[in-house]
Amino acid sequence: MPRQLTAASLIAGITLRRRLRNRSFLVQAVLGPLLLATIISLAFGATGFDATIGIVDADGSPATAGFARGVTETDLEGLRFELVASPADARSRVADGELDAAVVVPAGFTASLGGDEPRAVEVLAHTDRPIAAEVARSVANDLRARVDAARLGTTAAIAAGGDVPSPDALADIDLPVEVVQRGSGGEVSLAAFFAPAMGLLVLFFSVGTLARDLLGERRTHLLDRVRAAPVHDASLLAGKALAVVVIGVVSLGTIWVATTVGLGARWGDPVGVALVIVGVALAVAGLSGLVAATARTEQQADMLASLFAFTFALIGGNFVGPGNLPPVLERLSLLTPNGWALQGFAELSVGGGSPVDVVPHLVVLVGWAVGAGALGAVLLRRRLGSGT
Amino acid sequence: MTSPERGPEANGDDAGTAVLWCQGLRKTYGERVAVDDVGFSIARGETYGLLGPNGAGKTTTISIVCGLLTRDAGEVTVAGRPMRPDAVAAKAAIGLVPQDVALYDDLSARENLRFFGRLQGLGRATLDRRVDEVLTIVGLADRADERLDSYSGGMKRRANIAAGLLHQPELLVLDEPTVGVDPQSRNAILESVEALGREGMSVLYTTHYMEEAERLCDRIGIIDEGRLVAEGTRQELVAQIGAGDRIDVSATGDLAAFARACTDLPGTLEVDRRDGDVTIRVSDGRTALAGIVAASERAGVTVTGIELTQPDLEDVFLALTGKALRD
Repeated sequence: MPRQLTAASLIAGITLRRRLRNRSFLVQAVLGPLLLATIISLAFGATGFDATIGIVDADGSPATAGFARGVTETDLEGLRFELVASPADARSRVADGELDAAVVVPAGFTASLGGDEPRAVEVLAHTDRPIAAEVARSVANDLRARVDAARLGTTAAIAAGGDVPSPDALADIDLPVEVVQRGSGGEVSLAAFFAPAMGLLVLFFSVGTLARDLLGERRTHLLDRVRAAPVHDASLLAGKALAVVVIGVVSLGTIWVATTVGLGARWGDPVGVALVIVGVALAVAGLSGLVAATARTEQQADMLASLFAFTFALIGGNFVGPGNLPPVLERLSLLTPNGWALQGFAELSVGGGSPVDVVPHLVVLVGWAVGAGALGAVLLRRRLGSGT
Repeated sequence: MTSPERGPEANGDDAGTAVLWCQGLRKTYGERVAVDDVGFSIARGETYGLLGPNGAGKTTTISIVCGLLTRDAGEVTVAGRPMRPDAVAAKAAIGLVPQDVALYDDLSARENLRFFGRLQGLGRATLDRRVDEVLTIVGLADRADERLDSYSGGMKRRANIAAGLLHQPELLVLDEPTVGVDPQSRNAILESVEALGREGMSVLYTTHYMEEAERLCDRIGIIDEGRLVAEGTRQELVAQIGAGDRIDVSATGDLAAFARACTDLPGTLEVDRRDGDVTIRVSDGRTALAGIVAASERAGVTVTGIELTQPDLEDVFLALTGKALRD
């Protein structure tokens, strides 16, 4: 092995050995993730997400009846739709917690479609059950989208010289309903989303560890001894970053195994999952190098780590379920490594993708690692060399 | 005092055969000049001391020499190889012992030494042998497998030195290794350095303790405010300031006659009479003593006390910089 590679692996080895010895490795890479998996299991239960959503068809037209029938016939694990007689009944059952949320198609809804202001579909939600509310809102949005499509078609027909349809004709418009999971893979598993999402959040908080390590070693002149040896500064940084990669892989790997075994979460193709985990661990290591090169105190390192973790989590979509990001944030999430990682995980779990499907995600994550790491190496070398 | 005047090409005696050769070193931090036109060389087997007060530029100088800091100007060669931050070959020739204990507290001495030895490129068999050897040299063989945080301060310092010796460097660089050390450990460290010097190791030793520099170093460079103000053996440095030895004579009788008699003695530089004492500055105190005693007899004075004081590096530093070494 070339000398500098040996040096990097030695530095990674001693860093990991010390972390094992002072148990920080155990906490960061094993116990923390296990605790996180436990919290996730408490949040979503042993069987994951479970909700009953009421559908009220107060309009009663063939179109809305067909829509309601289509929705209630949907069979998804942990998610049930139930026809409810009236809006008042739905309101009362949601308030009692018997229903987690409800979608109300108001009376006269179809008839209002011919006018300028169609009546709104109402979503009844329990404040304690935001995920069920999101599902109900999605159903309502789906109905609105289908109605808009039908209206657009009618308008186009009139513009082309056709007749204005009668209210009866409008009522008969078929609004085909299919509630399906996106992608072609297995069933949606919220644990499979939130487990990596929270794992990534915790992992991004650790990007200050490398900086703290280096700053501590610099203070005690340990860094001088290492740098006085025949070791390039880039090898020093690579060694420290390699330790971060190992911790990241073990950390996410632990969450993967724990949620798969404990919660039955379906992460998707194991090779693909492993690739994304390695990719995101590399990206975190690159960012760690950048933080190490810029932070001048341990407090600064902590602050930068928190900044990265929260900003990336907010933009990247760690706190919201799949597909629930506003369009702007959905685009912005692609600027973050965790956004790409989450999409990669979703591609594998929801989309049933293969390792080939996550190659683009992997390329972006490795790009983050190389870009941030190289910038960190240049800045660190300059800083250490200048003694500032 | 500035750099050696001859360049590495022309200077076969220095750059070619010297373990360390540097010239014109300069390092600034913003407006502050930390090191300015510093240059010196260390021959094989020589112990060279950089003596100066805290903040004089000693650590900055050795950081440049060891390739830890980039320099704004100047040249450094170690064992004939140019030194840069990524100069692997030049760095391999140096064993650095930083001022603080630069070892992992949560590892044993043996684990620390194995790590730094492998970082220096030692193979497994050589490493095992060398770890045992240096642990024996610094007297830690029996506690080699204990964690460093269980060691006393002095033991940690010895382990710190051991790590610098592991790969048998051509130049051992010690940065104030006795600062904050108890007298017993300090003496043990000084004895170790003396022993290494006797065995022919080249040593660069920085200190602000005059007595350490006098005891250990073949040659001494006096550094102040980033500049090397004088360089040479102890005798050469003392000679540079031309102060000579001082003989204080306490006596009763005709001290004026005694002072006149001393003035006429060969080697006398200056005579000063105060109350019951006469102070005579001479070029060589030991050879002048007999003449002074004879002069006192001729002058008919009764000598009650006589003391010979040779100028030390403290006097040299004071004469060269106008301030005490510990200022």
